[in-house]
This record gives sequence, C-alpha cells and structure tokens, in this order.
Amino acid sequence: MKKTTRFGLATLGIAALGLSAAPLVPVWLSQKEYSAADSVPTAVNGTAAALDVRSLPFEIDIDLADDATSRDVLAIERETGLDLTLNSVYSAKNRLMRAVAPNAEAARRLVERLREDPRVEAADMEVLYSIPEPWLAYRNPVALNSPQVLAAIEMAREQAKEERAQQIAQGVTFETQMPEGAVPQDPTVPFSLRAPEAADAPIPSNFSRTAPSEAPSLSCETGNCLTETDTRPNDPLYDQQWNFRMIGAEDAWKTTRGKGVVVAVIDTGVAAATTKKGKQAKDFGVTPFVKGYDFVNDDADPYDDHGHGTHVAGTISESTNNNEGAAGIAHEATIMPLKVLSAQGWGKSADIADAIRFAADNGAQVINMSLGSSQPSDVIHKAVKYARKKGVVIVCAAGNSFREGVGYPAAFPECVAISSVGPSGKLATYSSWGKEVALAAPGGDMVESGDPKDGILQNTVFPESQGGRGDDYYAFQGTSMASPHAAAVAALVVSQGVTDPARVRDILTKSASPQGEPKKYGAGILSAGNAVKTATAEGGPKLRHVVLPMLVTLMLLAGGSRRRFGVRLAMAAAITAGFFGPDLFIGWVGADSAWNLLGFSVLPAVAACALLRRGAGVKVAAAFSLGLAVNLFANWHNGTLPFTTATFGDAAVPWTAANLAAAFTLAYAATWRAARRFGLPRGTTAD
Amino acid sequence: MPVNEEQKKKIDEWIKKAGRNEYGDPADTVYAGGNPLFDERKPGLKDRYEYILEKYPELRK
Repeated sequence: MKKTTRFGLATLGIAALGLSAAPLVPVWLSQKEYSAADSVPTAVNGTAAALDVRSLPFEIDIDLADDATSRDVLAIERETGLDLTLNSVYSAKNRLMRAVAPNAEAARRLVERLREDPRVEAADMEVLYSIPEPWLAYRNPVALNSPQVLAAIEMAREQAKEERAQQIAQGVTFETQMPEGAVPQDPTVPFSLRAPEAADAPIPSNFSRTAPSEAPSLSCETGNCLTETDTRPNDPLYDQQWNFRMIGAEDAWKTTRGKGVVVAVIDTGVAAATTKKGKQAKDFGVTPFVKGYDFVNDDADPYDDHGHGTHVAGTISESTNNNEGAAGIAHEATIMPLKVLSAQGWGKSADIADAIRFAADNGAQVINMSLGSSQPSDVIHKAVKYARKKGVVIVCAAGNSFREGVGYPAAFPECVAISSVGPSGKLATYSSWGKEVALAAPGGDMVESGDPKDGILQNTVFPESQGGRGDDYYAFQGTSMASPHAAAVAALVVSQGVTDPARVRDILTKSASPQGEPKKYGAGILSAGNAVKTATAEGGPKLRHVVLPMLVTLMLLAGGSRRRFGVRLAMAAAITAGFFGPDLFIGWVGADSAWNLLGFSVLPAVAACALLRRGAGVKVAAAFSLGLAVNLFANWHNGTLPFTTATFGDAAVPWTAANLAAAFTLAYAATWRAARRFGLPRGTTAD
Repeated sequence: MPVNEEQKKKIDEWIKKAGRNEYGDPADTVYAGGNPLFDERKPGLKDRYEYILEKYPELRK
C-alpha cells in the first residue's frame, strides 16, 4: 500500500471518529447545570406584609473546603466580620458552618464574596422556619422582627461565642475527627418472632391482619426462612402490598434481600428503637439499624415525630417474614436513620447537607431522600457531589407538584429522580414529572379513588395529634413512597457487587419495564427482579475474564523460540493491559466521568502504536490494540460500556462503533506491519 | 373562610416582595415529599392560599 493511500485512509478514519462524536455534543451541552442560587435572600416568619424583610438579619450556610484549617476559619471571620459556627457536631470534619449577616444586602454581598473565596466550596442563604420554642432562637437566630427575638438573637450569639470559647478551652479544633464509623448490626442475629401481644394491636379497618387462606403458610421458628424457591413471606398484610407484585419483589428475593447494605433514610427520623422520645414501631423489631443522628434537635436519637420517615424506612426494610404486619423490599438491608425534617415535615438545607455527608462518611451505600424543594441549594448540591464521589447511590422523590417540574435535590444530575405510579401503572395524579425523571416506581394513588388499598401500606408512627392513630399500619401516597422502592432495589443491586453509582443507575433504568413518555416514567417502571438478574450477571465473573488469561497463558507457554520469550511476555502483558486497562481506568475516575470517553476510545491504542512503532515494539502495540478492541466489543455487546450508556445513551452508539472499528483496524495494521518486518509463518502472506 | 381575589392578589404581591416560595415559605424550605399542600398521609390537597393564610393570618387583614 502506497504511503499516500495510507495517509488518506488515516485522515478519513480520523474524520469519521470526529464525526461520530458530533451527536455527543448536544447531549453534553444539555447536561443539567444550575447556577448557584441567584435567589433573592428572604427572611423568615413574621408579620408578613407589614414586615420589611430586608431589614432582618440573615443566616448564611458556608461549606468550607475540606482542607480548610481553624486558621482559615479565623481568617474568614476577620475578613468578613462574620461569626462562624458549626452547623452540628458532625460538621467539624466537613466544615459546614453557619453565620448571621446583619441584613439582606450584607448577606447577599457576603455570599457573593464567599463564593469567590478558594477556601469556600459553597455558600448559600439559609432561611429558616419558625417554631416558637425558645431554644430555636439559638439554633435559628433569624426570626421575627420583634425586640424580644432580636434580643434572643443577641443572646444566641453570646451563647455561641461562649460555647466556642469552651470548645477551644477543651482543646476542640476543627481538625476533630468524625466519631468512629458506624458498624452494621450483626447480620447473623436471627429474626425473632413478635411478642404474642403485638398481634392483638388495633389495625385499620381497611386491612386484614389475617393472611388469606390461599396463601402458603410458612412455619418459621427462627424468623426469616424465605428460600430460593419459596419467597412468599408470612407477613399478614403482605397480600395488600400490590406494589411488591408490581416490581417483582419475590423474583429478586430468590437471589438477595440486601444483606449488609446500609441505606440512609434522610427524612423525619425513624421509630427504630424505644427511647425517651417514643416507642419502636411494632414491625421494626428485627430490622437492622446503624447509628443515625437527629440534625433538627442536635442529638443522637433520630426518632420520628411525624410518621413519614418510618413509613419510608418500612418500604425499604420493614421486618419481614416475622408473622407481623407488612414486608420490606430489601428487608435484610440496614437502615441509617437521619432526621432532618421537623414534626411539621419541614427542614433546612444545612441540615440536609450535613446528613448527606454524615451518611457518606459513615458507610451508607444508598441514600433515600423523600423530600424536596422547588429551589436548588448549592450547599446541598456540593454534599450530593461529595456523597456520589464516595460511591453512594442517591435516590430522590421527584415531588408531588401535580405538574411538570422535578424538585431538588431530585433534579440534580447526581441523583436518581423517581416519579410515582398508582396500582394501574399510570402516573399518579400528584406526581411531578420532567426530563430529570430516571424511572417510575409505585407510590400509590388515592387522590381519585379515595381507597386506602390504592396506597402504599407500611407500619409507621403517625401521631394522634396530627390525625393519626399512633403506631399502626397506614396507606400513604406520594413520590416519597415511590423513592424508597427504588432505593431498596438499589440496595439489592449493590448487594450483588455492583457498587458504582452510575452503574447502579444504569442497571435500574435498563432493567425497568418500558412505559413510554420518558418525561413521566423515565426508562419505565422499576423492576426488582430484572434489576437483580442484571446486577448478578454484571457483578459476577464473566466468561471474557476467564478466556483472556487462558489465551495469554497459551501465548506464553506454546510456540516460539526461547530467545523471543521476552517479546512474548511483553505481548501477553500488552494484550492484558489493553483488555483490562479501560476497566481499571473506570474504577479510577468513576463510571460517569467524562474521561471514560477517552479511556474507552482508540486513543490509548493509537498512542501505543505511535510510541512502539519501531523494532519488536510493533508486536506489543498490536497486542495492546487487540486487547482494547476485544474489551470495547465485549462491553458494547453486553451493554456495559460505562459513561456512554449511563450518560449519553443512544447518542454514543456512533462514537462507540467508530472506536471499536478503529481499534480492530489498528490491531490489524500493526500486525500487518509486524508481519512485514519479522516475517510470517510459512504459507501466509502479509498483503 | 374562602379566599377572595383581593386577598389572593395581596398574597401574591407579598410573596414577590418578600422573595418567598410559592407556598409563602422561605425560598429554600424543603418539604417532606416536596409539596406542603399535599399531605402524603392523607387524601386531598390543601388550597395554596389557605395554606399561606393558616401560617400568616395577618395577611387576611
């Protein structure tokens, strides 16, 4: 082949590669980005229209860089005139601080300045709600514009200063380490049957505690005795849980129930144990828990005084097959209860950011956030990115706005946003929808029917003071109920060894039952059975991972003279590097990193050929190119090509195909060149 | 007590002036489920203006 022909072909190849990248550009540009809060600072509470909100003091959330020191904090205080305090006892490591600016204009100016400061990761306005307990004047110094409250603010500042002085006197610094990491409850402890008297507890009139006669009876002396073939639990209300049948929970249970996976429930708390604040919910007796935290009241008992969080936790891991109440989807998973919403169901962004970081730092592998706001928070977004970087799958409710528009944090690109469907499989009346929805899950729909059987049934503690009956079984509806279905299935997937958040998201979406209308249903309705099957296939050893080492061994042991053993060894290493290199690369940068576009391209092979084009090196380059080409083909064939499938979807098909073709062409060309240089076995030709 | 048009206008103006969210709460308030009008524990939906007036009765004046 003439040199000009080779040059022409190479130019055409490069042009084709460039063209194949064109469909990726619009997808890349449309990646959801929001600018950090252009929102107008707002004040709190008050005498409403009569109040000039701009004259009120404002609280600011400041997320310092993780390597910021106490000296940096002091310097920022000196430069800004702010008095920085930790948001909670757990903020010491993450440097999440709060400060009070004297008024709106000053707050806005300070936030803008802080966002430019390299020592600051994020800064946002924090606006708080009012609960008239006196202690809130300390925690929430922004309040009514009354002399009493302003006096309380001054008192709180003094109190905070005193506390800070005491901390310093006690030797506390900002380098304080987090408490010892959470240790999951011993999974070997068997389920225990409920106490007999619990069976006599009142139940809602709509539900029967008695298992239907046609249901197979399991005699489980030691609790959880579900087997691979008999996965129907004996919980009396299980038959009412239509949502479990919709997602194929029993199919998934043949393989896994989420053992050992920690799921953080960031919500109103969970009635996980009997404490001074209340009693353990009746169907959580054998649910595994790890240490959580109450960020609303700043104590270590995240008890649920609302009922929302316990219901959400129940969908994930309510005690199952214990002859009591209802079942949970990942009922061997461990719950980490984190309270960020008050008894009224409200919360503030600093606490949520704190809780996300707490979960990531204390071993949570999945986070469920059945909460939201129409406003993004930069501080929460930074925390979400932090958790995601640490390998946490973050699942969020899309919102209950009855219209298009996914709330935050669900709309952040790092989160898996879940819309809700009712028993018919149609989008629930109340569910928010939008392009950020990843998939839909059952969340109940009682809006039109008014029938509790169309809701999601779980055990929770719904206070009588708020219209509930205390500890009982309730049908709730909402994307809050849909989200924990997906979080639980994510836990099942993680338990199968697939832990990268982008891959977990990929499995959840590609295993969903297609429903059309992506804005409403995303990839479709959640399927636990399909997701676990896919995860098991991807997480386990693959045939190609066995075949390749065998070929390499054969290459080393068979044929050729001893004199060239070094070359054969290098070729074996190169083919292995070409084959496993991209997979190692993804482990380094993460499955959704843009760098994978290069890691899984022909570029490394081109570089190898350019660097090793002389002497025996061309053989090594050919082996590397071949290994890479086989990897690209195997990943493409299995639908496991990271980044492209997770981020670009079908737009990445031309890019993948072009790189695959280029890798094989390069491998062939390098082999041809080597054959010309070193000769071929008798009976073959190079051209 | 039903909310009249004048009250609705007044509430909307207050929201705009005070930089509140559509529910009259501070802009970055986060809600269980994402919507304070929809109590996931109960059927039905509260009226947005009623919700605001419950929290800020002085706006009725």
